[in-house]
Amino acid sequence: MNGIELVMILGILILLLLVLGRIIRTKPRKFHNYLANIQIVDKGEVKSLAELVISESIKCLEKLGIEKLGESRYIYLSILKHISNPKVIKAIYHYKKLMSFYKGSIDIEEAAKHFKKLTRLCGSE
Amino acid sequence: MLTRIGKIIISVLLLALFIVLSIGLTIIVSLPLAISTLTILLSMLFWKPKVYVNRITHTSNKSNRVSIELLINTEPYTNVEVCDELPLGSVLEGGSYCINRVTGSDGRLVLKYSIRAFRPQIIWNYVYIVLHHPLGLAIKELRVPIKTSVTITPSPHIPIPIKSKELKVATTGYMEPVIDRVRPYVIGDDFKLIIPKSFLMPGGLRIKVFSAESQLKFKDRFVVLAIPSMWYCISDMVKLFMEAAIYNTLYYAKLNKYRIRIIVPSTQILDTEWLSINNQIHEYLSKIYQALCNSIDTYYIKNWIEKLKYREINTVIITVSDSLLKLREILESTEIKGIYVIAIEPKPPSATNYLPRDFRDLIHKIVEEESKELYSAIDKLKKIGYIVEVVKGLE
Repeated sequence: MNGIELVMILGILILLLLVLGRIIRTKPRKFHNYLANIQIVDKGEVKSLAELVISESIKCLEKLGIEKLGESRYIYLSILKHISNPKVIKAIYHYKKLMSFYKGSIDIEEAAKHFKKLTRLCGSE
Repeated sequence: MLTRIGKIIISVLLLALFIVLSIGLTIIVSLPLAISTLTILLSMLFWKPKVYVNRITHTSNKSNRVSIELLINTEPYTNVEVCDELPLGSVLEGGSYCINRVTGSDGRLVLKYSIRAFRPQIIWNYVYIVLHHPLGLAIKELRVPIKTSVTITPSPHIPIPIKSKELKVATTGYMEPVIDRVRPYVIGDDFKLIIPKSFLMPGGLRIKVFSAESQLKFKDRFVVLAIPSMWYCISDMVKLFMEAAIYNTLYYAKLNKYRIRIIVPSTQILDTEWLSINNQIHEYLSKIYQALCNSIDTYYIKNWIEKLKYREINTVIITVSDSLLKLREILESTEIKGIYVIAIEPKPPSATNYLPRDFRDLIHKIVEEESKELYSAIDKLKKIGYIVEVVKGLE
């Protein structure tokens, strides 16, 4: 391999790394999700759809015996406590995804799928 | 923004290219592959479809209806989701303000809907657009700032969307000045009351005697006590309900020539008669709404209800479901019975139809639960002696 080939291959690799880095870093921008902000009065309090989904999910997790997950960034750490129960692990995963919806990182269709799976897990309990 | 499939495909392509390079194939083989792959990647990452949006509004001079036409021009055969903003102080009347379609060969899309305005000026700020890549590899979300404002000239006779027949119950005491009987003229009677025909009739002059002359003084007064939602200043939906209800009541009163008084229990007390409003209804309404925002203190509401005992009889309380639940305790403790309460039952917002099925079901479930609570509160109030009616809310 001569010098020119080496430079070209290195250049391509750097470009590839840059593109790959961009893909990994690509997170949806904060976008005003029109539908996630639908407001409903629930027990005298006005809540958006995203808030409703989270409160329903928390109720669901409580049914499964998980309490006080909240908005912690380290939700996955609580999996360690329930390592023996695969159903709980799945539920925590879906809850984490719904938290992403609450923060505006995933779209409404994807969130609906996770919500459906989470409610199924609670229903079968 | 790349979709999940887009990310997977790009990762696979890059991995393949890296493997080809690492195996040690010559530059003649790998370079064209690398260049073509990168071209595809970059074109996908920086995919920026052009979008042109224009909003055209048509206002009818005879009513407060506004029809809106949203024209979108973008690339042909692209899946486009468009949601227009429903301005505050308006309700959807026809069509829908969201659309999800694939553009035709000319890349043109038209969204049509109509609204009913409850404010003198309504303003749109943004249009929300989501464009899908033809291969489903990327999504572009746009919030296009297109400001449109429409000024409404109110019409004196507008049809009432909320059925107001219930209001009649509250005004059963009201009577038009009808002639009860005729009696002979005696000295001292008002000349205006003399029946003109009696000049020509044998038996002397006769005068008209009105029935309910003594009652007219207070029974022609139609009082509305607007107890707002505690969340009036927070929730757009509650605002819409309240605005529509008060607006309709005012027009109902005007059509039937009632004198009306609106009492908003707040720090800023409004107590105005209909006759002084004339046609400047919108200015008057804006004052009411301003006062509603200050009336979140239940102490004032309680005081006003207590005062009603000594003031008026024909009283209507307009309330949204959530404030009725809070109001119940106050009403239970007061001794004024027979107050007429109109509760506005909330409906799921029309935008719910565009939600995924599971979320739609969740919202319908919550609305049903709210309705059940509302009806249980109504039953309790009815048992105490209040007249309570439910009006279906607007969207």
